[in-house]
Amino acid sequence: MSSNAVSEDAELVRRCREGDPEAFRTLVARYHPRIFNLIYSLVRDRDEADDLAQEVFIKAFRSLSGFKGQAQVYTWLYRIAVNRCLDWLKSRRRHPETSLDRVEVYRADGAVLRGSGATDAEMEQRELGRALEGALRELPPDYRVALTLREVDGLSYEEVADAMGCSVGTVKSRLFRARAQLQGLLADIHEDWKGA
Amino acid sequence: MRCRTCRKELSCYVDDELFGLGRRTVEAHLASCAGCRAEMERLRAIRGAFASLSDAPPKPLFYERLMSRMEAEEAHVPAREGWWTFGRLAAAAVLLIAVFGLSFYWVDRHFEAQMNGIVARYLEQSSEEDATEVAALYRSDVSLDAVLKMVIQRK
Repeated sequence: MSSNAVSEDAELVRRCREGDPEAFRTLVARYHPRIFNLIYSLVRDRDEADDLAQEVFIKAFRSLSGFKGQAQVYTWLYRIAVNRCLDWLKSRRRHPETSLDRVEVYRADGAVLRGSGATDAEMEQRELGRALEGALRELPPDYRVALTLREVDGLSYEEVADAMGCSVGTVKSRLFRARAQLQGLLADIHEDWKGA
Repeated sequence: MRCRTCRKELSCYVDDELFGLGRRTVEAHLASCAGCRAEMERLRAIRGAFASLSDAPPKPLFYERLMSRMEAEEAHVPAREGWWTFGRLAAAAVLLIAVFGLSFYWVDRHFEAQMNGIVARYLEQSSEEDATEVAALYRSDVSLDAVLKMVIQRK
């Protein structure tokens, strides 16, 4: 991030603390898309992702006085989001939800991709996506988050460790175990993975 | 390098997070081990599967909905805050009353003890006749004040 962008963010935070509503609106507009994408990649439910994104920004707003500027604003929001998602995933694990039938695939305009009109390739991709989502749901939350941050967000081990508040060694261990479990789960769910 | 050791490192290797001697050792083992190469391909296939996960666009009017929610949450906070403040005040009042009450009780008992001490010393030091009279009065329903007055008058 350029130093200009960093100082713009610092100025926005300062104005937010002083109660400037336009500054907070700007902050939300600037970071909401990325925060939403991160949360969605972790929870895989659009409505929940929207709800959790609101909670992240509410928490950020209430913690503004505690934000000392040691990290960039996005990094700070990112950590709040990852922690909130971990809590959510852990609570969902205690009250497991439902089936893959609820897994939906969206088009860019927000419409849900239905069976009719989808090509064979799209259908196959969708089936694999559903299988993967089902398998990810079975992983322990810490493994799921580590693997998603790595595979979907492309974070380095150090960045994953920073986002999750753990060591790089712990990240390596979680990724190793997550992948081993995922292989087994995919083999149970999806034809193409049987015998893999 | 054994297969078991190699497979523990394959996750890092596939992520390009294995460097130097560790990386070279894994690569040397992979060159001669079909089983570990197959395992590496499975890990890469898992990575590829993530590309099948779809994105979802954010829901519209996020900021407006966020503001509505924040306003609704703040509308609930003052009532709770009011009750909490009232509770704290009530607790402080009870505590003050208890402290004052105990203090008065202690002062009163301490004073009474001191007065009892004065009467006792008088009884020790006075004549038998005076002591008998005062003792009788002390044991009766007459207040300690009245006994003390008599003692002071006779001193």
